[in-house]
Amino acid sequence: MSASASTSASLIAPPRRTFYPALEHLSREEVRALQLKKLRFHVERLYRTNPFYREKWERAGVRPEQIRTLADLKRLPLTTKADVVNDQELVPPYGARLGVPADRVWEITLSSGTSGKGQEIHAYTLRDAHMRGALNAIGWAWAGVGRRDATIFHIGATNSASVGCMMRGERAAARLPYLVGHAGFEERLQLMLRLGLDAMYCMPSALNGLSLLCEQKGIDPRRAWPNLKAIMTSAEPWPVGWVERMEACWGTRVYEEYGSTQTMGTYGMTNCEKGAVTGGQRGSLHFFEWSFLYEVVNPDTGEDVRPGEEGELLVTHLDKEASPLVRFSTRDRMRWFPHTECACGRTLDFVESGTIGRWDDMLKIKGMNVWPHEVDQLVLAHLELDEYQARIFIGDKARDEVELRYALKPQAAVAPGFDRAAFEGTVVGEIKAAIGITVRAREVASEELPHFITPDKKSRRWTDERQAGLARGFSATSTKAGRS
Amino acid sequence: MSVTQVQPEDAASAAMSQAEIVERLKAIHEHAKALARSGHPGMEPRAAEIMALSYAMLWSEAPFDVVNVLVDDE
Repeated sequence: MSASASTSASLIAPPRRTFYPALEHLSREEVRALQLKKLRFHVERLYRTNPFYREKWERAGVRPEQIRTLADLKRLPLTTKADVVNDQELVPPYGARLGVPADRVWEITLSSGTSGKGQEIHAYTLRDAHMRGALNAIGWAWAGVGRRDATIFHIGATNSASVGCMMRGERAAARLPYLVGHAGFEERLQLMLRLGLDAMYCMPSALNGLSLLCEQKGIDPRRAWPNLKAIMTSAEPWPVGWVERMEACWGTRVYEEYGSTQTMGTYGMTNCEKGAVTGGQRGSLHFFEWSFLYEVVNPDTGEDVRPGEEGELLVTHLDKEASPLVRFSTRDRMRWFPHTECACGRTLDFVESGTIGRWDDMLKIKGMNVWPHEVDQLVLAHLELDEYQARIFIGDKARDEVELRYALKPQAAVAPGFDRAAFEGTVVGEIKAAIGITVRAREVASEELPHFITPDKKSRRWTDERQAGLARGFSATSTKAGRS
Repeated sequence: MSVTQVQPEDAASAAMSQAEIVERLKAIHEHAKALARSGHPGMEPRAAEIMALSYAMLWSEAPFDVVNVLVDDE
């Protein structure tokens, strides 16, 4: 199968689709009025019932009656990940931020990545849980998926935000979210062939891997799933050419959504009908501004960015009962535009599709949040180890892989009884336990690695080569050719 | 705007006005709330779920009406 021989689905955008007419047809002024009504109610309620925010705002000298306009939101201090984690340690397990009686907690999500101290716990009341589904459903509906469409997601079952919002959201918009994320790619393909599907969610690197497996097995996705209406994706940036290749390969449009544990454990923005790419141009991720107040700000000055500029996303919940967030600093980097810049006609501002990154050095690997400095601490704690370098790349199976090259200290390498295989196994096992990712370790000579021995030399042990890998395509030939 | 744009085959729901949809949702929500406090151990958890679901439906159909609806015993 040759992707380039086919036509991308994204050349022309379909007409506007509506799922919640009363909400989606609010004018811009009505959206802002709804936000202000919710914000004032929310702030007054949190001041009264939420010890975490009451104390935070009292320290900042702000009272609810000072929040009279949406611009007054900026009077409120930021909430950081450190604030959330410290609060959890002081008042375990949910923190004083919980804000509802503990017996009203109906479900939880944990932020992905490092286990233990850095992991955020977000609680949901029963109402919050159904709101997660109501919001998630919008993306499917805008992508043209309806209640008779079998819709699946390629995400393994964990306590992350994904499974709960997907199961509920897919059932709110469509049907039959049979599970595939727990299985290997071969088994997933068999299930998809056996049960059929009309739409699916798949992270970019997993979609790449699935496409390669189809190619290797002689399966043409356009023939195997001729009714496929949409492929939804999120969590990783991508080149425009990659989307066009996937659309040609699968014969359908690719869409993107954005969400996290901090956006109510569901999607908080999604593509309109234009999808991830239309006519070679990146699509629009429209904000769900009825439930969130989003600010995209210059991270140094805190001022709102101008149209087309990159900034950091700050999130304020307008509907969440348990574990609410006000002006949460996501550290996510995105390019903001006002609603008028998208031709779809929605009154919701948006950010550019496919270019969301980070202001810090956090990496998203197979859906997991990974902070390199935490892996540094883990690996460099082994006294036998001299130095290491890690690279993330698109491997032979066209999926994310992590290679860790390490060098031993000369004395350790020759020490009697030193068991290299056991050492390597221990390091790999510890990384897996801490960040949930299996890395492939390989010993190299010390001279092959850069060393960071002076404080003025910032250590950069991780490199991300996935963008180049996605740009090369997914065929076995191209991925092998691209390996260094 | 019809509520059936996504699924045009559902002609029956297209006949229902927005006002009637909201009226029925509010009634469901109130009935579910009463059942969720009925003292019936097998009924209360499921009724609470209907209450939450009907709230999420009112959120989209009558967005300005449900701003001050709170977790049930706050």
